Amino acid sequence: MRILVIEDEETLRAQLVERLRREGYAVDATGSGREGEFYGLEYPIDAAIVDLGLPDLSGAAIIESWRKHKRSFPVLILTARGRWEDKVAGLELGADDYLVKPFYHEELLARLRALLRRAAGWSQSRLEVGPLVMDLGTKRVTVDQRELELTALEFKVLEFLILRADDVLSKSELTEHLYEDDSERDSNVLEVIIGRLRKKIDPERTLNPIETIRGQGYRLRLAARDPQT
Amino acid sequence: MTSLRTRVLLSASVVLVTALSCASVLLDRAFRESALNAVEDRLRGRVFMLIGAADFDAPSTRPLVGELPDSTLAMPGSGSYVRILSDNGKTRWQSRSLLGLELPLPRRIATGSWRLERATSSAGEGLFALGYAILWEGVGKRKPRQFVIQAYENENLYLSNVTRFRRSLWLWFGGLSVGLLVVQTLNLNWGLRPLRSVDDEVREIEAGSREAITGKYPKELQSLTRNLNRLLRHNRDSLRRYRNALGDLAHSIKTPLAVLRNEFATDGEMAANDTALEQIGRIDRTVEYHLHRAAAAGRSLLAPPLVVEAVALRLLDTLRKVHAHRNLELLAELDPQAVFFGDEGDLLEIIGNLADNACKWARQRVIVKASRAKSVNGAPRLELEIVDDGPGIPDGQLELLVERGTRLDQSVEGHGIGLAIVRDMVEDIYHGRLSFESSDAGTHAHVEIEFG
Repeated sequence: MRILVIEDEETLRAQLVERLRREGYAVDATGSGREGEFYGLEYPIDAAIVDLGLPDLSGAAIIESWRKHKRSFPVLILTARGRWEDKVAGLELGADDYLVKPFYHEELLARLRALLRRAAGWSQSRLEVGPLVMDLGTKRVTVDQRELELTALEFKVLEFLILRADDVLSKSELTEHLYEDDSERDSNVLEVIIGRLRKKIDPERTLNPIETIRGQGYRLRLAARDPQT
Repeated sequence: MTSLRTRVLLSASVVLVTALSCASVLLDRAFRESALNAVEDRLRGRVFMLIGAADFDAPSTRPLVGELPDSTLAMPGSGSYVRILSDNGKTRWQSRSLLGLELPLPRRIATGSWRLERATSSAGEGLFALGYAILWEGVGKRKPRQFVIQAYENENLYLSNVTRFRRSLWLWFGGLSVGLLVVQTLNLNWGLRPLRSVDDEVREIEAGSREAITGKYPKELQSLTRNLNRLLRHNRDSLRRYRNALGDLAHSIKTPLAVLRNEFATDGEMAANDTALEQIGRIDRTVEYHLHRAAAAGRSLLAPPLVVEAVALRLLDTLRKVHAHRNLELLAELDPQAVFFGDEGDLLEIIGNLADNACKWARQRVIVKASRAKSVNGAPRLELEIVDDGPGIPDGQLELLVERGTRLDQSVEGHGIGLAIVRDMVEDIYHGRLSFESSDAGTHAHVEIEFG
């Protein structure tokens, strides 16, 4: 998941970036409103964290511009002003949630996870695809109650596949959302991870949840989901 | 007497009526005097005519009177009479018109002088009488004799002249009064038109359809309208300016606080970190509370009343977004008539904090109600009610919530400072009342504000 952070206070930005990376997110960060607006328009962002009080371009203007250009990723606004007038104005402009400074990182992460999940159309923090269950809160993945041991990278790939279940995701799309820099992009790594995931989820090869669509990419079949949910 | 127009109109009519009444009384008197003079002149002419026609030297005691040129004197009861009296009051001669009539004796008249008086004939006819006393020297051995020459005229001519004059006087003056009052009214309307249009513009500002007074006004009003405009602009600007300043202040205090909080929340020695975090929390709450208090605008003058429904619906949309993960039912029961005389930010703050709090605690449902009521003295009153179906607030804490003067760092856990802000806003700034009712079936927050 690729997160954009726009915050002009350097220390706070550094803290946020460090914490988000530790959680396994790919992070783009800037202290400039104009630069942030550009990133949001040009990069494959999954969610943005925007400080409303920026020196060059206000957070509200950035969000307005994104929404005008049909960028629909969720936006969490950070504001020092706790007034409802500001919160209402921010959310009316197209933000999805707000957090008043000073906030705890845990709270920010919880809100961010909720936004990402909601944007993908899931209403609960437990994502279930048939026997495969991913809990975004506790970061546990189980298949038929059997817990999987996943590396951070494997978790990231699987989370993205589940959140965008039923969509065909190309290799470049996947790497774009998982890595910040082009230099890290190596489709071989992705192939290896997908291979490992298949083995861990489905050692007997009976479920085959991750399909390879030749020439296009990968797809996690939602049809395998329990019909009741 | 509250309208300027009524006052001016009333005083103008009083002056007008008084002036015209005085004028008509004076004119009436002048006319009567001149009419009386005319009567006297006519009678004097007759007296001289009679003296000229009479021969007082005739041998008998009665003077000899020749033919008189005035034919009315020959007609009995015609209203014009003349007679000659001796000094002892005996009639020496009388005109033929006096035939069969008796006239009272005049009062004594000194020789050579005139006397005009009113008299009534035996037939009840009202008359003017002019008497003139002469001393006739006589010829030869005759002693001088005194005679009184009397001429009479019926008073009807005089009376009808006066009546006619009075009638036309009233007619003209009445017409004149009405005409002048109409002109005065028109004048006044024209003169007061700038005032009325200022009033209209101020009303439009109050109703929100206008931002400033833009019409062209006469000199006397210009400084008023200019200053009113300046005041309006100043109010708007200064509220915006100090809110911006407060926002900047909040930003510059809270961003470092955010850094500190997360620095201490992650690593380091436990006990020291807890103290630091506690202090950071205190700073945060204090700053937040005082910034909110300072940013409250309060009841605004010359501002349109806010429709509560529109503001509350915007807020509910926001809350639905923020609490989307909780699948809450956010309901509104809003009277479209309910209005708030004050700042929109303040109203958002009141409903926002209460409703957000309710959302945090609710199990399934939050209802925001607004209604308009009239207070005892007829002032509009706003009643807000925010209802949740949460677990309710424990008794001891409920008191803390509504108790005045609770210190910030004693704020009830989980309720943040939002309720303290609402309490201050409602009670100190809008002089209303905030109360809570709580049971294990949920909490009702009740706000009443009167706009007297």
